[in-house]
Amino acid sequence: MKITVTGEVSSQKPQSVIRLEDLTVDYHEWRAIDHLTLDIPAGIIFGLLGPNSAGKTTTIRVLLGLVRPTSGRAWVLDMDTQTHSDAIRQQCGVLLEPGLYERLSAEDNLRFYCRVWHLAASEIPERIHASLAHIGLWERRKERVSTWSRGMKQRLAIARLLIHRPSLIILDEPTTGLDPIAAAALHQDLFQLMQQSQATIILTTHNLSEAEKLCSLVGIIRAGKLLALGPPGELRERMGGMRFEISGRHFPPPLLQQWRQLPGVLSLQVQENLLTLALRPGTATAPFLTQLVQSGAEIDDAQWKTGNLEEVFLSVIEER
Amino acid sequence: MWADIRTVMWKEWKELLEQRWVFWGMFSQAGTFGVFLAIHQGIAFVHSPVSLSYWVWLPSIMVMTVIADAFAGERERHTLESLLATRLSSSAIVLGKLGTAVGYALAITATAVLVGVLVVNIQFYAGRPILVPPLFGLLGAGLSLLMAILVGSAGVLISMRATTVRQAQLTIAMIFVPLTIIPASILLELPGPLQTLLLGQPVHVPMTEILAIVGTIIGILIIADIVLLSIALRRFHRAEVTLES
Repeated sequence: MKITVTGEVSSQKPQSVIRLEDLTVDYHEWRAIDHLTLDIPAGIIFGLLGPNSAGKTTTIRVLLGLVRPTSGRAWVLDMDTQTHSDAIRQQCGVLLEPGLYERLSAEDNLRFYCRVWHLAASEIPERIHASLAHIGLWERRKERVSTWSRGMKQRLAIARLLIHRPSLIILDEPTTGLDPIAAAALHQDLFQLMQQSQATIILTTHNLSEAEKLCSLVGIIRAGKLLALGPPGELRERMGGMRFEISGRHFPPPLLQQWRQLPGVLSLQVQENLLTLALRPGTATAPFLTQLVQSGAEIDDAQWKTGNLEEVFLSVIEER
Repeated sequence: MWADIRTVMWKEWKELLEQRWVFWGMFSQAGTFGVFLAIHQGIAFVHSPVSLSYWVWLPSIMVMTVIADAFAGERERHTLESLLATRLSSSAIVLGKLGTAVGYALAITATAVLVGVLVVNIQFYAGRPILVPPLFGLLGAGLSLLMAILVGSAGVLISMRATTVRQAQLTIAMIFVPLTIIPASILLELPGPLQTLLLGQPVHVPMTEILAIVGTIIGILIIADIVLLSIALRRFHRAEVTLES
């Protein structure tokens, strides 16, 4: 399956930072990635969305050379992941799991990663101070990480991955465990980072509002297959993200049941006095109103509402 | 490469030192072991081939306790994948972890020997300090190092595939505990003069014969070390280690 990005991501034709070509990964009998083809342009925030076991983490592992593809190929920064994985990892900052050494202090965790990335010894104290001060944890730098809350650990893990200022940042569920304020601060950081350093950011998430806020391009994946790809706004239009809301009373159940079978109706929900129809693009709404009136329903109001990414996601996942 | 090995060792030592009770507990046990051996063997402690065998046995046991945690522990604590996703080469990760385990084991063995020599001097001091003969000391240090590397390399192979530290520890123990018991059984079956020699009794055996035996053992250990370490380095594939997670 190949889905082309038709939405405008940037004014110039972007250079691919990640390219997957017919990628398949099998774990014994289970197919984690199923003929995935994908191009991710440089300098954007890309969101890979999907339910559990969709193949998001496996895709990241392939990009970093931590899993070998069964077939197909993957390139990161124009380097083949099977032959140049060391060089690829040099360029990346990765958050796969908190990955912190809990017996060590926050300062020592960062110092270790500074040494891993060969930062100059004279630069390390300043870099650690800036990182910890930025996430508001400088005062607690000597404490063992094991005594910290999950949210604090996640902030430290993100500070750790950014400490060498990588050009490609890969985040697996980055806001897990963060409170809304910390999550918003992280979103702000990611935006700033992308703007200042032209870094490309790839994130996987279950949090669709996060993807909608952050990402200029999203891919929806399930069972290792790419189901949809595009900018969130375009996906909303393309995948039937508009919904028609009718408020009123006495909606007849047999008629609603009949509508559910219509090819133009993606979904239908009734909540108290509100009937919500997700319709395929181009489906006329007048016949629905006429049938309701003829069946004795009372209608107060009817209007189109813009759907959100969550609705697109659910419709795509349910549809396939 | 050396800088990366040092970086991994720095982290490993930091983690070891943070477990203060475990760390110092091991040193105190080693010290007690040194006291016990020196009292039991008397002056033979500083030159008997039997005490040499303890120098080989003790670091092997100590390496086992640390190396099991090397990869299985990181896997259990969810830090392994982040480590593998860094720019560190596979060789640097393996050698850094092995180097720490070997260094720790040798430090504990050296503590035990020093304590033992001190006890011997307290017991038998007669105007001149009783020291380990240089050749004996050199052979002891060499054998300790080679055995520690051997057990450590095997431990790396086991730990990188084990899902938990406990599983790694059990597998290592199942392999190496019999290996430490079998030599003791063989010793009892050796011909009289050789047994007498090994038990530290003063019989005349030509130095060339002793050096030939020890030289053969060292030669075998060097070859075994190189083979096992090469296998450990070659079999440490990030993709396979990740999939064990």
